[in-house]
Amino acid sequence: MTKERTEDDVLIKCESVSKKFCKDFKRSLWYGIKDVSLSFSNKGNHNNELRKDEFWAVKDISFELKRGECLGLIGHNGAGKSTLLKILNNLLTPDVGQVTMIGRVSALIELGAGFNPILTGRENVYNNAAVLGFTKKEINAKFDAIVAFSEIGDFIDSPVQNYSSGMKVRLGFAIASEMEPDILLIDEVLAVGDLGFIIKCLNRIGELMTKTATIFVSHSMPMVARVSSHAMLMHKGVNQFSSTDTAQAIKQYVDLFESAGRVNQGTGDIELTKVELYNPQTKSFVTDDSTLLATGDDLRLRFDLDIKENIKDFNLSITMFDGQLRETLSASSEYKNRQFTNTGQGRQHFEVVLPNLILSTGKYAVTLVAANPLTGQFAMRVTNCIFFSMKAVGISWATSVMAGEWQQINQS
Amino acid sequence: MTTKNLKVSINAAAKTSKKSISLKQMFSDLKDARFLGRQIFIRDTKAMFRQSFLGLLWAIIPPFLSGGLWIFLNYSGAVDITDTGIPYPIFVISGTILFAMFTQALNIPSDTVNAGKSMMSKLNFPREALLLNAFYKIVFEFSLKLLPLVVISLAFSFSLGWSALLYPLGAMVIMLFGFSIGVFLIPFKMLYGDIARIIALGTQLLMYATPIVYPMPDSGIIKIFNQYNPLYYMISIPRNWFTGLEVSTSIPIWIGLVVSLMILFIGWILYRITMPIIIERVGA
Repeated sequence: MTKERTEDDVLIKCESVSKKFCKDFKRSLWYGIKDVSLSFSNKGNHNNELRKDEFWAVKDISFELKRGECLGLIGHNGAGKSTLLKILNNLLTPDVGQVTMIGRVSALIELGAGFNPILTGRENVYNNAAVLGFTKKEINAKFDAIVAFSEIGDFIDSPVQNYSSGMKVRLGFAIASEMEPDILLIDEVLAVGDLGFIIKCLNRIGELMTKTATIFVSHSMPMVARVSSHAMLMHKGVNQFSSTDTAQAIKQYVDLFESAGRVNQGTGDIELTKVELYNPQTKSFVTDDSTLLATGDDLRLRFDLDIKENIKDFNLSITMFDGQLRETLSASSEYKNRQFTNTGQGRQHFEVVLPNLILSTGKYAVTLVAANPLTGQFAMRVTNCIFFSMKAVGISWATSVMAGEWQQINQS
Repeated sequence: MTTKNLKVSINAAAKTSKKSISLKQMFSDLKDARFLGRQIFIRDTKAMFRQSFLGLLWAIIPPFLSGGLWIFLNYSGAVDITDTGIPYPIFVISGTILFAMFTQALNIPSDTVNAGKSMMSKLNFPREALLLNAFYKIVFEFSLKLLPLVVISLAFSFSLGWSALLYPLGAMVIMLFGFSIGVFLIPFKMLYGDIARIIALGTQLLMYATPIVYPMPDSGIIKIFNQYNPLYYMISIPRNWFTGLEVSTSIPIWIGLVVSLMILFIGWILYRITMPIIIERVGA
C-alpha cells in the first residue's frame, strides 16, 4: 500500500515491540517450528511469556520518528540495539507489537554483505545496489557518482577480497547513501573508517538527514551528540531513557560504566577527604552539585587532602569533563612550576581559583589529580569528585564560548 | 511541494505467516525479485569462472565422463548391454545428461540458499531472488550440456529428426521435477545434515535402478519398479524424442509436469514461511 507524503510526516512508528531469543540451539529450532504452526491456528501463542531458555532481547520499545529527525541509539554491548535495527529493517519479526516504516529504507547495517569477494568493486556495485533495491536504470544513472564518492581510485577494478575493511565500508556507504532514502538506519559501521572518511560520511549523513528519518547507533558519544536530535538509551533490551536532551542520555550511558561516586585511581598515598565549590548565588561553599556559574565567573575549589609521610613533593591539577566526555579545561600547578611540599601534618587544605571561565553551557565533572613532579605517577586521581553547571553567554557547539570584544576600526 | 507516493511496510508479530502466503504478496515479491535474481546469477557465474582454469568445461565434462565410462565398459565386453537400436554412446549420453540435470536441480536450490544465508540475515531483499538464481543456474548448466550432445550426434552421423526438438522440452520437465523437490527440501536440508546424505545415496541408487545406461528390460523387478518410477518416464520419453525412437504415449510426462508445478508451489510456500524462522535462528 502507499501513502501520500505530507509535511511533518512520521516515517517510523514502533509500537510496544518486543523480541525474544532462545539460548539453546536445538530448543530454539523446535520453538521456531511450534511458532509457525501456532501462527496459523487462531489459538493464542506464546508471545508474551518466556519459555525455557528464552530471554527478552528487546522489550516493549515504542517511539515515533519524523522526517528530518535523527535518533541516536546508545547502550552497552548486548543491550538490543542491533536487534532493534534488524526488526526495523524487516530482518526479524517481533514477538509483540509492530513496526510501521513508510518510504524507502536504506540500511548501513552490514556493508560487506552482498559483496562477492572474487569480483571487482565495480562489478559488486551493480550487485549490491540491486540487493538494496535499485532498479537497473537507477544504477546506471548513479554508477559514476558512487564510484567517485567512494574514492577508491584504481582499486575499483581489483577484487573486493583485497580491500581493507575501510575500503569496503567506503564502497558500501557510497552505494547506500546514493539511494536518497526516506529512512536511514546506520549501525556502527563508521567505526572502521579513517578520519577523512568519517568527516565525509557525517557530512553526507547531514545532507541526507533533512530529507530522511535517521537512526544512528554508535559507541562514539561525540558522534552521537553531533548528529542526533533525539537519543534513546537502551539497557538490557529496555528503553531506559529517551528524549531530545541528548546530553542527559549520554550522561546516563556514562554513568552505567563509571560510578558517579568517587574513585581514587592513584597509588592511594594521597586521599581526598573533602571538596567544595564556591557558589556565587548562595555566596558560600557547597559540597553538592548545585553550583551554577556563568561566563566570566571564577571557579573556586577548596579541598582537603590526607597525605602520607612518604610523599615529599607533588603537583596538583584539575580537569573539567563536559557532557560528551571531552576534556575541556585543564589547570595544573606544574605549568608555572609551583609544586607543593608535604608539610607532614596529615590533613592539609588547598584552594584553586580558575578565573574568568569561558566554558560552554552544560554540566561538568571535575577530576582532581595529585602527581609526582618527576615521574608523573598519580598519588591520587579522583574522577567525578564534584559537579557544577555552566550557563554560557550564548549557544554554540563550541567547547568555549565568550562574547568577545567587537568593534569596527579605521584602518589607514 | 511535491507529493510522493511512499510505500508503507508493516512488520508485525503473529500476522506475518498468514500474510506471507497470500498469493498477491507472493507474486508481487516474485516480480520484485526478477532483476535481483538475474543479477545474483550473473555475479555467481562470473565469480565461478574467474577462479577456474577449465571454467565452462566443468559444466560439460561430468555426464560425458560417466557416459564415456559406460561406453567403454560396453565395448570392451566387461558389461553386456542389450542393443538399443541406436548407437550406444548417444543412448547413454542423452540419458545421463537428463539424470545429471535431475540431480543438480535437486541440490542447487538448497546450495544457493545456504550460500545466501548471511545475505538473508543482514540485508532486506526479496528472497525469491535466490530461488530464481538457482533456476537460472540449472537452465544454464543444461544449455552447456546440450551443445556437445548435438556435436557428438553429428560426429556419429546420427540423423536428428524433428522430434529431437522436443528433447529440451522434455528436459525442462525433469529439471522442473528436480527443482520442485529441491525447493521443497530447502528448509529440511538447512536444518538437518542427514537429508543431504540421504539424497546423495538415493540419487546414486536411482542412477542404476532407472534404465539410463541400459534399455528397459522386458520383465523382472526393474521393469516393475520403473513402471512406477517417474524418472523413468521423464528420461526415456525425451530420449526417444531425441533419437527418433517410437514414443507410445507422452501422457506420463505431462502428468510429471503438472505434479512438478504443484510440488513447486507448495515448496515455495514452505520456503516463505520457514526462511524467516530458520535465518533468525541459524543465520550467519
